[in-house]
Amino acid sequence: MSLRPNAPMARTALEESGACPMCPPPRARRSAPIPSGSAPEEAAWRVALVGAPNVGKSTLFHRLTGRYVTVSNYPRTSVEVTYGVGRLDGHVARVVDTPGLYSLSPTTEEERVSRRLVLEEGIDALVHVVEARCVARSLPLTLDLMELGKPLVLALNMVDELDPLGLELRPDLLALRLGLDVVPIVAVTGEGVTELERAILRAIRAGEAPEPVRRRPDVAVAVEAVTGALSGRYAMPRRAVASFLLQADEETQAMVEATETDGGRRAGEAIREVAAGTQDGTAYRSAVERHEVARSLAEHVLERTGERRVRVAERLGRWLARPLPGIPVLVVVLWLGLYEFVGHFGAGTLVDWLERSLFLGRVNPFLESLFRGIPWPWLRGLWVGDYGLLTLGLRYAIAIILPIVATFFLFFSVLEDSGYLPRLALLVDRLFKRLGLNGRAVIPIVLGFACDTMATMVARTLETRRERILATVLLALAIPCSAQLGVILAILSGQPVALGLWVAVLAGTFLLIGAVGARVLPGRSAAFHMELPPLRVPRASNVVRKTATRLHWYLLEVIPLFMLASVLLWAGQVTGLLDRVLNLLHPMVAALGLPRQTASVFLLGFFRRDYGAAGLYELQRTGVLDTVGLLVSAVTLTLFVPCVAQFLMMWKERGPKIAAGIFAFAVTFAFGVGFVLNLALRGIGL
Amino acid sequence: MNGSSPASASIASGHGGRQVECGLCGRRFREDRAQPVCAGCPLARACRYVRCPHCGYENPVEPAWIERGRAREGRREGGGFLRRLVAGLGARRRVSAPGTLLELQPGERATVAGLEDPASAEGRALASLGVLPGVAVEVVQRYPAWIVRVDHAEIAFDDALAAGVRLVPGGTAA
Repeated sequence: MSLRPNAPMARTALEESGACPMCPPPRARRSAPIPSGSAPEEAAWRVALVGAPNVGKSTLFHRLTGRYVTVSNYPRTSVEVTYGVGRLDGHVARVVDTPGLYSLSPTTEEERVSRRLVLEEGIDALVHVVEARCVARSLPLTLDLMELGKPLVLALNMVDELDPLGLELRPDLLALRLGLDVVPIVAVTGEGVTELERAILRAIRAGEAPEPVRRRPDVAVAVEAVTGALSGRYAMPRRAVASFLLQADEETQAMVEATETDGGRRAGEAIREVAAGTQDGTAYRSAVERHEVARSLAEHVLERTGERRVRVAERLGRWLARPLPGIPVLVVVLWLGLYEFVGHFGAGTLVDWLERSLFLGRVNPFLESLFRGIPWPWLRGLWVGDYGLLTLGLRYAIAIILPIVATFFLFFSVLEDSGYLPRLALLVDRLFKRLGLNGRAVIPIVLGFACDTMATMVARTLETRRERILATVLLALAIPCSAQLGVILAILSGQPVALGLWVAVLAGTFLLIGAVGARVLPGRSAAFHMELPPLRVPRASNVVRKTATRLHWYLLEVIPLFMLASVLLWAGQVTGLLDRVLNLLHPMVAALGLPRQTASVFLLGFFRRDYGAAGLYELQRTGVLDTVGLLVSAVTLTLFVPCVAQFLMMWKERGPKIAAGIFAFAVTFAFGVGFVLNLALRGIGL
Repeated sequence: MNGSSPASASIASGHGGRQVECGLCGRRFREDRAQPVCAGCPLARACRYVRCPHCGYENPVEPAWIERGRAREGRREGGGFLRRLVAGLGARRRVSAPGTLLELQPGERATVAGLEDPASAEGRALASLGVLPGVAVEVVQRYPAWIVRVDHAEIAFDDALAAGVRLVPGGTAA
């Protein structure tokens, strides 16, 4: 009923590293029964997939596990971890898909969770998934993983992308140099996955950890010195502990302080001694050394066999990242996607059909006839009637909101899967910097056009508190969610001038509040950085899966809220409380030059933003509002307080003080703008 | 937020050290060597003209976006006004700091010598993207954000990060 305490999308925090929205947010929560008939000791085999974000880990995970998947929060964190049971070449194993990480020295909460998962006792084998073309950048992590004392297999994903780059990879050579199984795969097609399964089995059965690669002499001496200063028992070899200490890893430092009998004093001295001989510190030297080793390995195994062919997709990707033609294309993409597809098709054609033909024509009369037998009108009113649970709650959820969010999620999934989002982020970076954000914030902001509640949660992945607050304010105020957007576009689509004014007021608010906020809030914008995945044609199966998972989560969260809102409204009506609140709103509405009925629209708007917009739709259809009234109420409603769910999310994510502050500001600002707009428009005689 | 570009700064203060080609006599002069009459003029601060020291002709100061286009075109000889205009809209202030990535133009390659401040947030971000000493980088674009090829992958970042990448001297190649 209420929001799940650690609702999904946490995985999108991977966007921290640029991979974000590409990962499907919430997955169906299913129980994970271990298929019967398998030996218990086999079922206990546990395999962890490790790797940077966006290398196809999740695709491989689904290949390995199939349907038995559970998603749960890692204890005491909001990070979601996906577990699954699958068959490795016929043998049952539990597989865990860890959040993406670049190195074992974690900087984000996701990375910390990944590291804990990797170090957990009972993990029988690690599979490091890397993108084949980025092998040089990925090997440093392999080298770190090799030190952990656990069986390890290296999966080189997307080997099919090497040929167009004019590259050839020698997995056999790499396996020889590293001393572990190296399997080339193409996770999306399943190529090589069986070989990978066999390699994992081999690694588990052998139960041997790979021999760590020899390090550069100066680093080796340092590691040796620090290892000698350790005497406690750890979840990994002491050598690895020493290595992490030299990387200035805070978690390991805390671990050592807790484990060593002298509180890690000896280790600390050893590190200081070693650090005295370096210029940039041991952490930097370690990182550089890791990359040197990785590069020399990569040079041996990666051969240039032909000219690098610049593919059409690559050329297109570069074009899209330039202001010209990138920005015009961006405008066209958003116009086609949001206005034509979501607005016209979703909120127009689909809603019309579902609402008029299906619900008002068939379902509602049927439900009313069903409940006619109930003698008490108040009880009947709970189910059918003006605020009926079924006739209002269900109808809004299924007939109005569902088609709109479904079309939006479909559009967003296509953007995601095509690799266009990072280019979008890059294009808007400079604009967003003026608003105190950076290009990355475009992902929560665009998601806000789907659901502001979800977007408010995703905003947690922004680096600084200042950015998180700014994004939350902008989402609460100036970004209409898809349901609201769809309905308002439908209402205003007949009046281009009104629509233009509505867009202008919102865009103006977005820029103004952002620019003022950037100046008022202390601190500075975090730097922008992100990996650019190659542009590709979206795969239908991915798009459908992403859309379905988003929709699944959305409906689970939303339908109960709609029902709750219906019940609250019904209770309000029965007890007369609703009328009293409405009476309070009437003078405010009158000040905007709007008819009394709009008060209930605003009130509904708090229960769900789109709810209110849908109410507005009714008012327009019945002809209660003139064009100016329609525009003023549309603007006020959009700027008006976030819906209950979003408010709760702001409370949870940013704290009560900020949530209350934003709430108060939004109400004042919305009515203020509505008041001025009304005066201005009536003043010039419209 | 961007800070003022050299061009707009010189417009704001009336005079700067840019080379100006006189529209009348065609001779070149430095903007701050314009006819001394400007020094005494109370309107100089807001004035958008520079007076040629040779012929006294008052040349209009080019707005920043044309200036940018010209700077970009300077390397590629030729190009008409329209092309300069388009290039100018696409180009941006020419941030530059010797020895860092900022001095590379699109298409140029170099080897990373080190990071200005490996311990800063920017330094850590660069390291996590694989920008570390010894790595070869190729600039794909500079504006609106940097796109750099590292190891068959493309990464994007802003000016602040680009300024933190030190290059091996003399290692620049097209």
